[in-house]
Amino acid sequence: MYRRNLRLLVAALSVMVFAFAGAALAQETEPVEEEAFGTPVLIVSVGQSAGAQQAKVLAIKAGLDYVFEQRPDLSLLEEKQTLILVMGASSKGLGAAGVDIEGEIAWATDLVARARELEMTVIAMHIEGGSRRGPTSDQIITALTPLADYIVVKGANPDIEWTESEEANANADGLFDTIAAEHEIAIAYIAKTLDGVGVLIDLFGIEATE
Amino acid sequence: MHSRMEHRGIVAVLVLVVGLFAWTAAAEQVVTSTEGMVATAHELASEAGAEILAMGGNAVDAAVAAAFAITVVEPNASSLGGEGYMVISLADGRDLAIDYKSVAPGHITYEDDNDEPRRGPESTCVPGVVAGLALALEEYGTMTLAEVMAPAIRLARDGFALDPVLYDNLSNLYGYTDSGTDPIVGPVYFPDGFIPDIGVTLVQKDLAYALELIAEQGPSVFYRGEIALAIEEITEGFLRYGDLQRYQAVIRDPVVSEYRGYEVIGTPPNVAGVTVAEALNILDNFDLSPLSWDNPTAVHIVAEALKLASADRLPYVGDPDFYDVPLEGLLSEEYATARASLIDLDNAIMPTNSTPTGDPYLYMAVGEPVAVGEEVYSPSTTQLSILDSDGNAVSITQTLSSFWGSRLMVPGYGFFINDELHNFNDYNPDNLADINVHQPFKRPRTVIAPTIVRDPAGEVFMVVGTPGAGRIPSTVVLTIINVIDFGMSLEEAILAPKFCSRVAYKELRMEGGYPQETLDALAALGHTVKADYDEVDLYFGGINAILVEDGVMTGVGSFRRDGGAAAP
Repeated sequence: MYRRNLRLLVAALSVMVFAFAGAALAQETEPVEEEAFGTPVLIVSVGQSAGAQQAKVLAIKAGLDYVFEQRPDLSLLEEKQTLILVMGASSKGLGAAGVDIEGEIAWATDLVARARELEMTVIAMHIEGGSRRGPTSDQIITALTPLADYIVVKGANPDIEWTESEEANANADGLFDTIAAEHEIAIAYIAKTLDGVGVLIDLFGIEATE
Repeated sequence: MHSRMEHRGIVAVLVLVVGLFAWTAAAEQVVTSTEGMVATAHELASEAGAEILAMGGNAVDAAVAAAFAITVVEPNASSLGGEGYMVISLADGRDLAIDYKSVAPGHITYEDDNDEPRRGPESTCVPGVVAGLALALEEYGTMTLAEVMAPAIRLARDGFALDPVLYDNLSNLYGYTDSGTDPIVGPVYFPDGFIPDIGVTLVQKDLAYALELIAEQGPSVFYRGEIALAIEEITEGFLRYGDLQRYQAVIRDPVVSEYRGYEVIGTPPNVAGVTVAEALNILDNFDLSPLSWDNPTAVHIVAEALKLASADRLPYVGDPDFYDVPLEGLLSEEYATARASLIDLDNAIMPTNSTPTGDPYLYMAVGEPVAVGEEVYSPSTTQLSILDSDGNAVSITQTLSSFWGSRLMVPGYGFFINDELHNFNDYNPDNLADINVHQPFKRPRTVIAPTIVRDPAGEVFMVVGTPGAGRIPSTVVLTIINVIDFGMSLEEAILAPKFCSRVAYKELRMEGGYPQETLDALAALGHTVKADYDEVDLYFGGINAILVEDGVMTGVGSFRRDGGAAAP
């Protein structure tokens, strides 16, 4: 059990409220006073889909101090504070990387293990919506999400009506809720990919860049 | 004479009127009808063609409509900046082909290295889609360009729901364009900086504008007007205004051969209709009907026939405007019998180095055989098959070469330009006889094979074709054999596992679904079997086809690429 859980829970509650209400509300909500997550951040792809590149754009828009590497060597974790695993399987991406799904999961598991040795925080992110759910992506989600300290998912909060398209909902089956509950992991839900900017701003306690 | 504003207004009215017919033609993956049929890689393109048939257009009208529509709904695989080949079989007995392949720019020299880059301005060739489709309509259609382009304009202007296949391709484009930050592509497909979700309405206003210009002014605006100037500018002069001015699509005689009494009408050089015809001619020397699609002897014989036909393609099939291709010899029954005699039922011919090239000149006027050069093709292509109730049939294969082509979008006009230049070979002083070296205004050799089959009574029996690069000839041949020799329905023929045999591959590449005993038997014959592909694997193409039996047309959109068929 990690020492930051209580602070993470406070951060999660405030982030969930503002992220789902939209950007306008975000501007009116007080940011988390304590910085829950540290920088610099390493953003990586697990599954080699375009989700990680979109996460990079989120980081740029949020003004986050980050390093992006699609599939880095473990050594790139050095001197980082937070690891963001952006989950989503692409057969083309995996093929280009010359790995199969089992190899990808094994590499990502090793990455998380090394991050823990370095006392880093781990965020599991899935921001491509229902478009990036399927057997292979789900293998990644079920294997890696339980290892995280925090979850960011583009999908429905079970307590709030989902008003975006069903294809945009990566949590239609409640998979992320189930994982979050079983492993006591804080979770933030976003309706649009762009809402991830506000989540990052709040999690890392930085000023918005737009 | 109408003013430009009046022309624009007429186009707008036509878009509205044609749109009213949209409800008549809902696409599904398998459709039957007696009134006409359109099968393409996207249900909306099939519906566009069916709309035109419902309005009284013929198969050529519908084909042109669907071909323009597919450039909107499948912009990664087909574009105004691409190329294609069309085979037409008319009810009055005329068969023809329209060659609208791209051509190399006029400044290219033998010494230019076309292997790098495969993206950007220096990968491009002068596009042919607009000229080819306009020529087909002018010569063999019954409707105006504005009328048949109305569905495509509507789809671009009003948008359509993003489907899973295009979503995956946009995800790739996002990476190609530095996370969608390309200043031309980004605002079109990633306006908020992110990949749109499946189901989001995708509007392409710039493309709509380009289509409207072509609809009202004809192909001249593309090849001699503002679009030509924009192409020259974005390619930094690699494609020059003069190159575009000079471009023409060409009407050619198709390749016509016979298989088991069926007439096979395919593309002439320099694409793969010759290969398909030669392979079928070779197979006509064997009786496959007692066997089955997965019988190892059947697979072996077909694989060897395809291998021999592909070996002949490299030295003999070139741009017919540059070379006198020995068609008479390549397509003769005697030549096919000679090639068939090389097939050993107990041993596979090793591909590449030892696959014998025939001498078709022995079966025709004297000529000199030429050496082999090899190319690598992109699988990123689209197939359209159309048939009307009068018996006019059209088969089109259209492409950008790679998905998204050169990744160069023409700003303000919303379409990508092809990357066809890499389909030529580099000049090699040790192989002076290579007939596929890039030269000014030459067409690159590729493997597309849109095909029409007539039954022994002379009626259109099948309209077929597929994307899939080097797998195209094999997939087309296997689909034809599955129906004619093995008695499958079109759906079964398309779904049945495919394999690819050609000299460019060291292995016999087999889709998932073949019984292990078949794979083992083929290995025992000496084939190097590569069978680690999925079942219904896109690698083996995406056949969109139509079959006619007892007057009923069945249209099937590709199972491997989520295609659709529609009827009026």
